[in-house]
Amino acid sequence: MTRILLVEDNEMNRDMLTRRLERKGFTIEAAGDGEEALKKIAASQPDLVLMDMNLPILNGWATCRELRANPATQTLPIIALTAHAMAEDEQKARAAGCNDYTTKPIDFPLLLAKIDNLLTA
Amino acid sequence: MISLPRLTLRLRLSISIIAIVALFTLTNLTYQLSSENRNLRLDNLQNAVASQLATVTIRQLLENQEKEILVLDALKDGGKEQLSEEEVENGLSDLISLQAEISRLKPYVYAETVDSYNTLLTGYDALHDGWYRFYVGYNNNQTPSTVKIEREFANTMQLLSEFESLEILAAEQQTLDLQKTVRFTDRITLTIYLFTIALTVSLGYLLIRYTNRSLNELNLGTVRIGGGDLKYHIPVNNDDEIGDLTIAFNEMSDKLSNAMAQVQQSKEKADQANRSKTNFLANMSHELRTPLNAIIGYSEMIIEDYREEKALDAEQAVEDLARILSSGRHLLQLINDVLDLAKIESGNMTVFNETFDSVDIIEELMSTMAPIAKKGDNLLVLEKSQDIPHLYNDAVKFRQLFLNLLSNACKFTHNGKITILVTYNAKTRHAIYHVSDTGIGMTPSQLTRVFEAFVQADSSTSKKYGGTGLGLSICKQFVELMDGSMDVTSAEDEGTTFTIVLPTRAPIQKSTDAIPAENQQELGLDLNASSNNEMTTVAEEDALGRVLVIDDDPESRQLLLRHLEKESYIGLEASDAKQGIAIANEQQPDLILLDLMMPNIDGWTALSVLKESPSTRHIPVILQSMLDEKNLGLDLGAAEFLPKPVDRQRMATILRHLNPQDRRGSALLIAPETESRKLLLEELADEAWQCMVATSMAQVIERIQQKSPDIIFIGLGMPYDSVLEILAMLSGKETDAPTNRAITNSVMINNKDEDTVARLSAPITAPIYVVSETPLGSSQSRRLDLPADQIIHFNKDDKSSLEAILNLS
Repeated sequence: MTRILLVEDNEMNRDMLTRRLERKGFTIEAAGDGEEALKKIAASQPDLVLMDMNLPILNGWATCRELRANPATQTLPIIALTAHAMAEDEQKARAAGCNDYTTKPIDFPLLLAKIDNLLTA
Repeated sequence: MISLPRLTLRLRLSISIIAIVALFTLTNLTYQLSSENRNLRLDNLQNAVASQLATVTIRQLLENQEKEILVLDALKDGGKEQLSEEEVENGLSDLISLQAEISRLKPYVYAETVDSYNTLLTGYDALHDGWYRFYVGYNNNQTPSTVKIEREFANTMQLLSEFESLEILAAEQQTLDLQKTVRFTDRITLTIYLFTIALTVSLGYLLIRYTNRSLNELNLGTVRIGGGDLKYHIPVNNDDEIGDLTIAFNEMSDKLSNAMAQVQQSKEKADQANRSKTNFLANMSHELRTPLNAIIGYSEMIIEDYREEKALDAEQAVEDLARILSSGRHLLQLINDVLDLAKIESGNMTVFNETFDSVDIIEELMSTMAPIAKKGDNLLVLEKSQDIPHLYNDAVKFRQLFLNLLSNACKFTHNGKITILVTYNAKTRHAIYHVSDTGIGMTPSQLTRVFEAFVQADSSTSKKYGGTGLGLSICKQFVELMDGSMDVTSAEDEGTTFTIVLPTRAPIQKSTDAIPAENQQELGLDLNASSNNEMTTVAEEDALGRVLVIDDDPESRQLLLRHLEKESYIGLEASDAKQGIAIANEQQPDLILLDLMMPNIDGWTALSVLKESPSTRHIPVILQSMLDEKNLGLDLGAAEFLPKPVDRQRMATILRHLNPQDRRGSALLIAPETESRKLLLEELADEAWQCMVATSMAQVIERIQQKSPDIIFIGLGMPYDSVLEILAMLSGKETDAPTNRAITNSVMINNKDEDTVARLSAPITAPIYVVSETPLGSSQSRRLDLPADQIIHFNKDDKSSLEAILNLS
């Protein structure tokens, strides 16, 4: 059973993605901000993280950098989910340590492919 | 205070030349003096020699004469000699020539020898006398004694010798004196000569060194400034032509530097604008994508549910659909807001003014907001200090503005109080609205950015409280469009107060209903020639005034001309300052719009020329620039400052304020001179009406023929029958009343001309208002045969009905 941590502060989007991914057989845990995400990753060690970038308290980029700085989570697959769709936004996300990047509104099959791709790699 | 003349280069050179010439003249004079002395010395010597020779001759002659006398005397002693007549004659003539010879000495006599000479003459006279008597008495034997003659002779010879030696002494003394003078003058001549040479050389050297140094400095400075160091100032060391040149050069470099700074600043502004546009786009993309994510995600899920599971959880589906709906609505709000902002920024937001009761609207909004306020446990309170006059402004925008502020206040306040305080400043005729809440408030840094688009206190705020982040930005722009101002104060965790100040009478807005093609022109997107040709020109008589646009950039000139035309002005154009000044002189426009940044002659220079020339100084000049140079501009005589890019509304407002011709129309006031008429006139002038006054029937006709009025007021202290009579005349009806009756007994004198009615050829189309200080009785009102709203009251306490009419027309 693949466990995914979904970091998303927008309640509607969190609810929607959780339910859709659960239907695809993933076990989903959700966090509303970067700090909560770091705590939950340390506690439950998920297989993959889906990370919104505009987060309160600790934003997505900072959270990613912190994860990459920690040896335990250095290789943890992270996919950035963001409504920032400019070209430099992808650069920014990858520079912060994300393995992949997808924009909102989310193309669900594409997201599944990306998850699959990262988990089998 | 004695002010020394400026030591200019010209003055220096002149002084040097004068000094040198003066010294040369002096040298020449002393030289002349010495040479004259030399000549005198020579003359003196000549004299001495001549006098010496004459003395020798005289002595010889005297001795010869003495010998002859002695011989004759010896012969006479022999007793046989008689002198012939001829011999006596010869002897006497010899005496005369001897006397002449002695007289010849006279020119050589010196002051020192005058006495000696006179003694000599006296001595000789005695000798002469002896000799004369000797000759005369010779033949009669009556000769004087030779002993006596010989004594006289010896005495004369002695005197002659004395004179001779004195003469030599005097000549020597004279020569010595002259020699001294000659030496002295020679020395002076040489000294001055040498001094002149030294002075000439040193002056020349100093002048060369001085000009060379100054010119070198200037040259170095120009090279530095030319090399791009515009901040460099050439030191100004001299108060002369070179100093002037240096100052002029420094001024030029300052101007250049300013111009460069202006360009740089404009570029930065443009870059900044560009960046904020990009930012705005990025933000908008972000803001649109977030609700779209929910809409698409939930929709896909519901479709999946239908397709795969078939048995649908209806409750869940409704919940999800509600989320789709809410996201959709949010999206719609966002798009509306963005469109509003875009419309405002492109200058196409229309303002439709009407008279409305602002307190009514606020009360209505409060009842709309009541359920929402209740939900947040908020108390909603309206306080007003006094009766607030009706606003003449855009009611729709007013409503949107306060809805936004109230919903913001409700959103950010829980278990608190939201207060709307309305006051009125009668002096400035402004209504002031405070919307205060006791909500979460803002930090100072949040406060500074509160009116920026897409800025909410922080990114989590929008997620917690919703909203597009555009509302306040739009509010602020609306208030500005409504000719008001908006401000905010806030303290974190204490609450926020928004203050809005609106004029009770907004300036007259012309309808700006925009056809899409025209929009493009306004934005400067479509500036091809064909669209220019389609411009409808404003007829001279309809125009509010003639405005001269001086701008080197053809595009901004065209844009301004189009704006002017839409605002009913006749535009004149000039592509540079020189042409502009010429047109201003020739055509005498009512106003000038002057661009500051122009090649050759810049706007500042043009402004000073326009303001100095007596033929143009009365024309108000509105400066245009990318930079805010309002204060400097106003100091230099500009009437107003209009920042670039031009905001048409702002331009129109400024033009209206400044334009002497821009009147709302002409009003004819038919009433005798009273305090109320004066009040009414002031009221009309305040509202920018051009007023004409008539106190007799003849004047009414005359005024109407001069300029047909846009509005007519009649009454105020005029007898009721006269009002009827004039009304009848104005409407072209025949009247039973005799037309030659005086309108009032005292002031109004009617024209006795029977043709008065006939002479008013064209019927009057302007609305006619009957004004009375006190309400008219119903029977009187009926007889006026006018709609009820054209019968108004006006006195110093009640001007509302007049104001309503003025606002409508």
